[in-house]
Amino acid sequence: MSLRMVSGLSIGYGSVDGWMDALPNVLSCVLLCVLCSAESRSLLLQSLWSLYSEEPHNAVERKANQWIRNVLCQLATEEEDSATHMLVKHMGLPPKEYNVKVLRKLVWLLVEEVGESCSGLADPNQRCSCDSVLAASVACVPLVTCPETAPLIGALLQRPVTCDKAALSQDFLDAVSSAYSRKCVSLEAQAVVSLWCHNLASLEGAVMSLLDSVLSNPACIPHNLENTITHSLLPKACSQHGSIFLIVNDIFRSMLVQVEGNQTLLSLIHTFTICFLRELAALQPQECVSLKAFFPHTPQSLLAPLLTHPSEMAQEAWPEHLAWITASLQRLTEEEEEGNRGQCGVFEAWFLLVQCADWLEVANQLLVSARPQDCGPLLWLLTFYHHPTNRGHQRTQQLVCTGWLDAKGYCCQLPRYTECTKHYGHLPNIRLKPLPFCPQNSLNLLGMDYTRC
Amino acid sequence: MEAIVKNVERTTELLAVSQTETVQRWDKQTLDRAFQWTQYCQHVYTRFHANPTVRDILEKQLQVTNESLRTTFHGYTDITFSDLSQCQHLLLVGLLNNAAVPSSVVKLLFDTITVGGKYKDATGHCIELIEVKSACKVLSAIYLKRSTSFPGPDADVLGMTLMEMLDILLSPAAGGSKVGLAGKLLDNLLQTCGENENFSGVVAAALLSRKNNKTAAATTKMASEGVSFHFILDWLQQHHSLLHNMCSTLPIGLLMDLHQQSVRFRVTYGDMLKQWGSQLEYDVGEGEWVQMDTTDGVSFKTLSDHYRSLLGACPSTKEDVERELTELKVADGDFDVRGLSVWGDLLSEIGQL
Repeated sequence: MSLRMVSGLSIGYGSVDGWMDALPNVLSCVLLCVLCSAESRSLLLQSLWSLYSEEPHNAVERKANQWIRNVLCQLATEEEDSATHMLVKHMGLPPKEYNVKVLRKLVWLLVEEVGESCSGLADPNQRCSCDSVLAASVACVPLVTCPETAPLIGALLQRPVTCDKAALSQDFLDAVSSAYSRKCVSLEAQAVVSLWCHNLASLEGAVMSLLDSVLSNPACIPHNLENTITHSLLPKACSQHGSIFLIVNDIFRSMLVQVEGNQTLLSLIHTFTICFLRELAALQPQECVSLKAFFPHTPQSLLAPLLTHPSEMAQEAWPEHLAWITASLQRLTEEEEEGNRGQCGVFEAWFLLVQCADWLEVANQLLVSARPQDCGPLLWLLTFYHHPTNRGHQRTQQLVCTGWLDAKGYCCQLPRYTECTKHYGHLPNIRLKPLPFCPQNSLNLLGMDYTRC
Repeated sequence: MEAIVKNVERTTELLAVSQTETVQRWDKQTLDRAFQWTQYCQHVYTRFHANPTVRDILEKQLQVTNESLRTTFHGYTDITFSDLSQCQHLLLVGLLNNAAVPSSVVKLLFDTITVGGKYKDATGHCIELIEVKSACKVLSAIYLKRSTSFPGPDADVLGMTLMEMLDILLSPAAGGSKVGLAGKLLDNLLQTCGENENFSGVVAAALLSRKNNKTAAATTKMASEGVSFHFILDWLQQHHSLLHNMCSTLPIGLLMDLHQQSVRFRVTYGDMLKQWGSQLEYDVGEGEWVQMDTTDGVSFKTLSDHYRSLLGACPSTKEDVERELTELKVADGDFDVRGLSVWGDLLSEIGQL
């Protein structure tokens, strides 16, 4: 904007001399708008420096250089109110310190003013102060990156919306959101959560940024992953606002569909859910939270069993618990294959399993020490985790071809077990190859005949 | 001590040099070092401005340095001890006005700093200044209550600074000799800005700063809290015209705040009002009370506004004011005829709501 302005002016005034003389008046009008925003400030300076000649060849260039220096000096050191300036000087206050203190005091006064809510005045004729909030938010658009104004930005974001007039300007929300994503503004956690409540785009941006940073760094160790997720403030926001959790999960769901089988993504979702549940517990330690609100699409029968963390029950109960979970999931998949239910049921169930992947770890552990006849459901669960759609009929394939089931579907002997664990031992390493179609692929065989082993 | 004197001398020389052609050779390092030295001098000022002994030594040294620099540098401006508080600003102004400064150095001053870069070095110094000043302008424009709330943030900051300075000068640890310095400070300030509204606002802000700064007062010594306040009031009594200026130009609401805060101020204010009242004369032709001397009084209307606010302040004040005015009216003869006693007329004026 500034570059165009400056070159336009030089054309309009005919000569450099002409517009240089007239510029002070023009400048004072536009200067305030240009100077308070970081972006336009740097553009203005760029324009000025581009007009500066390092090696002036003639009088015009020399004069231009001198003028630019004068402008810069004026911008930095001019004091408007000379009376105040004299007072400042005689009190031994450095001008910079004085200006910073005045700014801080102004911010403090405005924070107080913004904090007064109209709380639904009984008298409709009485003017509530909420329209000043909109004005304040508009005025703060260029100031979002100024560190001293951060308290005011936070106060504006966290102000409870009590009446129609208490809306924040959309430009303001966009500016804050953009500055936050570029890490140019430091907001406290609650202010960020409020920002996301006001502005969906900024929430989506935050989620995508988290996904980006995690997926582009697959070697991320679990501890770092948890840190990254916690620092994103998303679990905190989700625990305070169920709607945010639902949106975040929607984004996760679409990522899962797009990036099938990405183990980093699966781990991210699992760790995210752990962080979320932790924040939720911290938030409402006494209340019995209805988790149904946070997981509305999941088949209800699976919600409690999967959300119960393995550490919350005795180890001896694990096999039975897992068996129950597996049986429920199997029922769901059967119903889906028979066309009784929509796909959603299975997908949601699988999504919940991904979120509560601790049970897969348990399944892994149990597999190591299980009896051959108990392995079936565990293997089924593990296969389901990795291949929820069973498009290549992997579930039966793997079990046949690794020798657990012979061609007729009968369970085979124990030695094959070690080969199995090679495949299923560590979740991150499992990438099962789709095998050619096997004629006998009845799931009923799997469900019912393992007891024959 | 010697080291400090030497350093101050060197920095003064540096300031002189920064306005000559020698700066052509300056680079980022030189600039940073120059800024650090000016910061040091500012720190010296803060540390010793309340210490007459050290201040004297430094002032003497500065006089000597000024003499020699005057002969060396054409057009040299003397640096005094109080200039040391503005050292960085002086350096900046000198550099920006000096055409010999390389453009690379100027560019550094206007470079955009990254988040987290602080006031440590000179890079981006001017950008920070511009950012803060323009933010102040924008925010004061939207500060709704600006016109109704007094003092404004600028007077407030100056008032608090003044109070802090007086606290240091008048604290028991400093000793009695500082009272003179404190008086001199206030005299200087008054002389500087004349009796315009600015200074009245600052003094009022200083007096009010105790009320607003309750947490700070709780942690600092109680002894000095009242001392500075009373010192200012004492000083105001000796500078009657400023007191008059304060009481007549400041918003009445502010005066009510002060009134509530301090018994001493109540007395001062009350005396002021009585004095104004006694300066009014009844003009039979106009049928109004007019000021005899327009320079040092207020109109009848203004006076009645003041008294009306006092009535509204609190019940005990209401009683006191009514009693006082009644006593004065009685002293004037206790007539109920308009025009005979300004106090009687005031009473009837404020009695009507």
